[in-house]
Amino acid sequence: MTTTERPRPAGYDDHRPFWDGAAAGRLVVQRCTQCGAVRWPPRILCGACLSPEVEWVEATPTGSLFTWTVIHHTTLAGFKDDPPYAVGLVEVTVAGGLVRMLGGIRGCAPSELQVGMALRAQFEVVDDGALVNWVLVGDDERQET
Amino acid sequence: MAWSDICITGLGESPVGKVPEKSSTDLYAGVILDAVDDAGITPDDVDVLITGGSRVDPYLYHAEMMAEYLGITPPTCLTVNTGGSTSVSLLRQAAALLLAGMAEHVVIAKADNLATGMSRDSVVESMATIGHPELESPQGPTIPSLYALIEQRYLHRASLRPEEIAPVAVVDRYHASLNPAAQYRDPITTEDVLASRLISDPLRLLECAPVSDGGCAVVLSRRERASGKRPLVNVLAVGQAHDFEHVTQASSLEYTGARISGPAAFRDAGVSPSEIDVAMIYDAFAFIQCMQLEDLGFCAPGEGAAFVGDGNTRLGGALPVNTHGGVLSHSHAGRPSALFLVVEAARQLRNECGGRQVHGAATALVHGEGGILASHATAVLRAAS
Repeated sequence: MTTTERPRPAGYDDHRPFWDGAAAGRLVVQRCTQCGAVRWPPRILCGACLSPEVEWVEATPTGSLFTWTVIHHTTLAGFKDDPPYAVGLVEVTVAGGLVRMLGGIRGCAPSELQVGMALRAQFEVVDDGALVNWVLVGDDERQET
Repeated sequence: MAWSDICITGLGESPVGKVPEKSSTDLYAGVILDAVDDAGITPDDVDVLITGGSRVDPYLYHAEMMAEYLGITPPTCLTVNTGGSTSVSLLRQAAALLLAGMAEHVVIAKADNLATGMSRDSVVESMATIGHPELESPQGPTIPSLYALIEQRYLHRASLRPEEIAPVAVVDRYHASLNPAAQYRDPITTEDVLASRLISDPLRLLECAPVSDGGCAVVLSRRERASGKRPLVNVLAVGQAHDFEHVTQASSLEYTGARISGPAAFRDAGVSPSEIDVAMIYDAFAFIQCMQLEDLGFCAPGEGAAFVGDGNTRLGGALPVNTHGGVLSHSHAGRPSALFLVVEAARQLRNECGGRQVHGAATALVHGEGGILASHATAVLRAAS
């Protein structure tokens, strides 16, 4: 596999706490301390009230599958040996708000994927952080026991 | 000056499909000269030259390069290299320049030779930076996959099965079979669509745009400067909506910005959806057409697929859509695709479409979308009286 051709976390300051959290097995997102809105991806101001005042809050690393696809053909050089692979948008509830994240969906057959299914984050450590993938809650628990 | 004084006066189209003998620059020059000639003016009459650049020949100042190539020196050159909504929204910017008295003739041109000028994979990879480079791209999402995420949610929301979307591709192909200029002209069936391979579930190959060479150009003029060589087409109004860039940031992935751009265009044009005789709707992926038919108000939410499946969008139906064959079967040279929608709408209103002519077509709608259903522009055109 030509992993060196895959895009990787770039290490910019505004994303650093997210990658550091993921590398430590924690899912952290930003919360505006002025209006309370949660946001992801991280950025330097609140899209709701424009305040730069921010805190990082830890989310319970579970979510709901908002939508998904299984990629059967890719033109991305770094992923050419990967198909089929599943990608989804996962809704995560945190601090009274909701964020959607795009992540890989692992460890289940395409026929198992359903909108609304419960998922748990699984952190894949890479060079400079950890990618956040998602697995079925049930499967994850089976793997842990 | 009012919007009723803004006219489409000239159209130019290159061959599409595989045109290996022509560079992107050659394609551009041909369609600009054809459109200018069609308008009954000379290249020197062009005040504003707007091009869409080229992925194959990525000049930074592309419009200036084309002006140099053509030996003209228009006071305004703009290279606007964004995607599917831009060809429609540029009608609004062109109209603004004409209304402001800053131009008499504006040329909008887009061409590229993606099919033969660069490898297929490098074409698609060149479009891949549409995702967030740090937070999305490491997961390997392709452009079709980002659209597939929206289709999957749309199917869920509307309680549709993937096979109910397939007639969009069948109707596009039927129209292409009537258009000698289209790239893919052999009729296909729903079964053919469903037998084509999965690209990104639920999207199948025949529901995805091809990769093409080709281009087209449009001249917009102040009415009093029009030569009268061809029938005039009024641009009544253009509505726009821009919601997000990354799919994670969309306010809704179940409805699109066409719910804003469409009503804005209808309101400003003083036209209702029932008055539209023919519509061109950007459909680089089949399901987009269903969602946009709903969001533009041509049918109720969730009924876009049935609207197509029942034959409404076929020539002879209640609202013929994409009579040139659509992005799916006419061509997809990238940025030119949505401008081809404008060209086809204008040809319908000029009664030039031969075997695919919508008889008596007087009012047309063009809808373009760009990004991942993120940026929207809707135009209402009418044959000038």
